[in-house]
Amino acid sequence: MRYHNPEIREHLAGQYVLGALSPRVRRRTERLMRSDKALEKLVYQWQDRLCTMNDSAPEAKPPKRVWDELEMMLNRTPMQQTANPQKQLMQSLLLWRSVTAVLLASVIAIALLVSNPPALHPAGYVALMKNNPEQLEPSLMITAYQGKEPGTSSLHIQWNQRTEQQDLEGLTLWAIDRDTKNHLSLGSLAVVEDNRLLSRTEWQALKNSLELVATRGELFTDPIVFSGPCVQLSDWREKAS
Amino acid sequence: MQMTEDRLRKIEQYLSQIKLKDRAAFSQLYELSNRKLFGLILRIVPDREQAADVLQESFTRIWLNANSYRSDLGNAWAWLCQLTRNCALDSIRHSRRHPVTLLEPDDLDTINIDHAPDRNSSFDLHRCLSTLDTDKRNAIIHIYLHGLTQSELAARIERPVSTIKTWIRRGLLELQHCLS
Repeated sequence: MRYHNPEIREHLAGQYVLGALSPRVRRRTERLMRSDKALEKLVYQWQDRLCTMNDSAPEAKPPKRVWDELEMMLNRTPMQQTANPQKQLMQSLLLWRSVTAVLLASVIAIALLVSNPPALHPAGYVALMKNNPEQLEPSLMITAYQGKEPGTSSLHIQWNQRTEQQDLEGLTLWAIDRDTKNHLSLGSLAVVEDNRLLSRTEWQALKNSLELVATRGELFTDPIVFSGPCVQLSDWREKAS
Repeated sequence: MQMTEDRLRKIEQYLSQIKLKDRAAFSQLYELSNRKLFGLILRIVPDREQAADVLQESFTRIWLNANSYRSDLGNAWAWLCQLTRNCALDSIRHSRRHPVTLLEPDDLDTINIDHAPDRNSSFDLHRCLSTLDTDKRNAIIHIYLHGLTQSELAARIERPVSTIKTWIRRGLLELQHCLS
């Protein structure tokens, strides 16, 4: 295959990002990228290299209808996407088939759970967050789990049931580096309450952090609401095995 | 508003949340980036209504395909720009192209690096572009910024398509060596 030639691959990736390929070759390149991770990596490198040219584009305000239609897209159910009665009938049949499949899958999952306890995924890092150092008990616990793929690691919050839960809206979470004491924003703490995926940079910051801090506001200099040391946990399964 | 480091970090965070189908993050990403992306589209698709359709298509793809973004391979803003440019290229190549005003003969000065979020990489690109000869440099800039095909550029500057292809191939090779 000619695409195995490193020069051709580099050239293909560069031309793809530049926008110089014909629609047919571009689609073929996109298909190749899905199966060829090395080519995908080259494309990302060219994206990053050329992206700064976009900074010169002046900003422009799009018409309001764009967001209105995007909101409709978000709210649209499969039944609302078509007015064709035949398609609706087919969709309702598909819906019932899906419901049956889900029920069947649930029964199988329950049966498997009863026969085999689930493999527990150990937490990688934990921070017990207090309102102030003198507080007897931490208010909440922030836990980080490393995902199998980069970008799939996640952050979670659990409240201490014995303390009062607080509104996390408007709070920003920060990781403080253990060596440099620099801080990196991990974004809104309220988002972590649902489930928060971490980028590779954020995961690295968390790994190297001495402490996590939550401020009221978007600046690191805003008042601190929670803070707590971040500790790395060993895998309890290694000890048990 | 410039793409500051803080904005870039937020874009990364919102995109991570969109992978989990977080609508609030999608709304915040739109709020943060719609004007910049619309400006980028307008350079390729000058008709505002058509450009608005492209912006809508781009955000629909962001919502549906956020999972395909690999944060370990590159930055989120570059990924968003590429996805948006691809939508604009699809749109303009399916319709009759409206005339676009090309930048001046030597376009290097129009690439503003003063407010770039990552001034080092911006400076590097600027420096490396400046080492290319004018023909190669302008071919790369015109195709990237305006989404011209090599044939369209050849017709506009009245040069053979084969010459444009050679400029692009050699120009990209020289850029790659310079940037790495």
